[in-house]
Amino acid sequence: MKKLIALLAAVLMMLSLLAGCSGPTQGQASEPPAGDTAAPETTPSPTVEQPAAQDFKVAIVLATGGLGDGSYNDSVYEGFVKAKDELGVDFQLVEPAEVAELQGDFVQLAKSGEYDLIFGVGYECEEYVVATAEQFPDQKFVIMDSTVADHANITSVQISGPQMCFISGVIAGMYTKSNKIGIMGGVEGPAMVARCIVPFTAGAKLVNADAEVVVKYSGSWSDSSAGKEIALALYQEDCDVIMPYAGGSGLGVFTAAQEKGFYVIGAGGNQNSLAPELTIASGLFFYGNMAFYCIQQAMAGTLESGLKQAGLAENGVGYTTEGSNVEMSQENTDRLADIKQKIIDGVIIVPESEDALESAIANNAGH
Amino acid sequence: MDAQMLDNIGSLLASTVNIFIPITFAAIASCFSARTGIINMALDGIMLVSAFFAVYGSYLTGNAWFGLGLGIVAGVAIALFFSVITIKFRCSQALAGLGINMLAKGLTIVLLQAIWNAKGKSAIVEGIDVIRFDAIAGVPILGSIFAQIPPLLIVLVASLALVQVVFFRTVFGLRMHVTGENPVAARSLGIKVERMQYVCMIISGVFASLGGAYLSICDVSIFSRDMVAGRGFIGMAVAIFGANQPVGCILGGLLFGFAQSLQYRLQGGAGIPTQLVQMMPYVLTLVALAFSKKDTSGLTESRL
Repeated sequence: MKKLIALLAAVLMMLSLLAGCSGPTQGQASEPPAGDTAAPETTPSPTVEQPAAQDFKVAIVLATGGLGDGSYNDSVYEGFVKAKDELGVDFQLVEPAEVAELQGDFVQLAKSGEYDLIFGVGYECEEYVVATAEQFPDQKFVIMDSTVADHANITSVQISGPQMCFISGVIAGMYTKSNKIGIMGGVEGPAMVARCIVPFTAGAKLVNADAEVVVKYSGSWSDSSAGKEIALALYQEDCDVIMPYAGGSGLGVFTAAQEKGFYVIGAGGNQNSLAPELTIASGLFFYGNMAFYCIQQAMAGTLESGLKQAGLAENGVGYTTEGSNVEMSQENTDRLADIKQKIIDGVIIVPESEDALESAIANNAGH
Repeated sequence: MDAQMLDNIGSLLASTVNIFIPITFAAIASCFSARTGIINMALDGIMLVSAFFAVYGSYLTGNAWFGLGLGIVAGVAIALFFSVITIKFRCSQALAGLGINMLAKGLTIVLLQAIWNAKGKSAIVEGIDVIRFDAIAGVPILGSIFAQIPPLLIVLVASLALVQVVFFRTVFGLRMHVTGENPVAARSLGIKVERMQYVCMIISGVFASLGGAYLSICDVSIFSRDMVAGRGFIGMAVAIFGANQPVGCILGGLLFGFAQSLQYRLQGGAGIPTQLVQMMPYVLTLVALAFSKKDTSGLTESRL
């Protein structure tokens, strides 16, 4: 009897763990208005045979963060829902829990031969997509947030995070009075410096030559309490505009702002509603737009392989003040539009390495 | 010392106290279980579940205190689940703890999805307000720390005093100690060992829940996935550091809190690599552990 109960308890725990991985996928399945009879995402396993109810079928393998990251997974997913609603595309969603699952997922999807297009999300899937693409040369792949450019059956889309951070830096430079701006980062790494801090700094210096950027890290992508303490420490060092760039840890910055009254700039999604009186704007990634665009092109048969850069010009990144109650003057709005246009025209340079920072600042001065 | 300097010290210490609170709650929770011979490996999971339900309770009723109550109930339920597995079914404490921590992680994400249709964070809810003492707001250093006191800090200090009395001045405390020290001897003295362990695990659950709920409804007024971020384990380490005594927990909690708070302030200056600065609280705790007195609670090392 005891053994039986113990066994049941063990099974229950296993199940709830599995539910943690795949449950939400199924939960979301009922959400998009069903455009067809077979909703393929109700079966989490890509190996299950699907009745061919639609002409165009797409599979998407998310990054391991899964849905609800408020960043690229969610954004790509929105693009798919839009494609389903507007283009009648049928899609299969795969939410891997670990990087180790990626190779198997891609091979299974490609082997089935059912999908016109297979999407991988996040640079962590790059090598697995490349390996699978070499094995199945007739299968078309798209990788979001990648730079793979040398395969005939892979299209890489790179969203310009640096351009988004540059614009956020410009906004921060406009609003700071102490001329000290903070970045609350997650975990330090070369990508963080090159794709966030450097362009942000260049953006701030463009409109405010005296601006100084202070960076501190919470050491985690999920510790919102540590994020709050970091923000308070930045505020103590006179930073009066702070941008979180730290996933879930970033949420604490908004709480700290409400206690102390400094300005915040959101990143990666519209976070203005978290502290509407103090959040000036949020920088946005439009992965969804790009996913939608790729599907549209593929359906028309015009999707080209190689690298596609998606920055301000392609509507891959942008910013929004929607939901914010912080006033942005007409002068600042015009200035931002002007800077945005100059980035698109290539007049203003967005640096992406520490070495390029000084020369970019010198080049951009006066615009 | 100029005003800016005093202000900086005040901010450093205020942050220390804020980091100290949840960790020390976890440490007391660990003391209660460790003293009866159970290593509560599920602390992190209990904290996460209570952090979630505290926010959910506040979300449902708009009353943060109700949320705190719901958080404690949920946390105690998980603690009891852990107790049944380990005490009744004699499962390995490490394994059961690992399982529950994973369960808590998955469960809270599924519930986030079910309730707020998001896997990353909940809605912002009504939090427990700080108690303001405007009279001392202008006093340097003291003003920064004590002009705004979270009510749970008062609960924590009162609990620490109470726990000190319970551990060392009551029959219950003595029985706890005997239970953990030598269950066979305890049983021969007529102590109901398992009942003792259940009771202490419930108390442990309450304290862990207070720590978890502090993070969500007092500190940031929102639940985000994995927000406990290993504080349960830090709490365990602090309890071991403090020889499973309240005074030791206070010292350990303050030391860790101070090191963490200092670390946040040292980052980004003087050209020291961030990673080195970030290691500081952990290295400091290890060093302090290495040089601290031998375990005076009488608990043998074999228990881990």
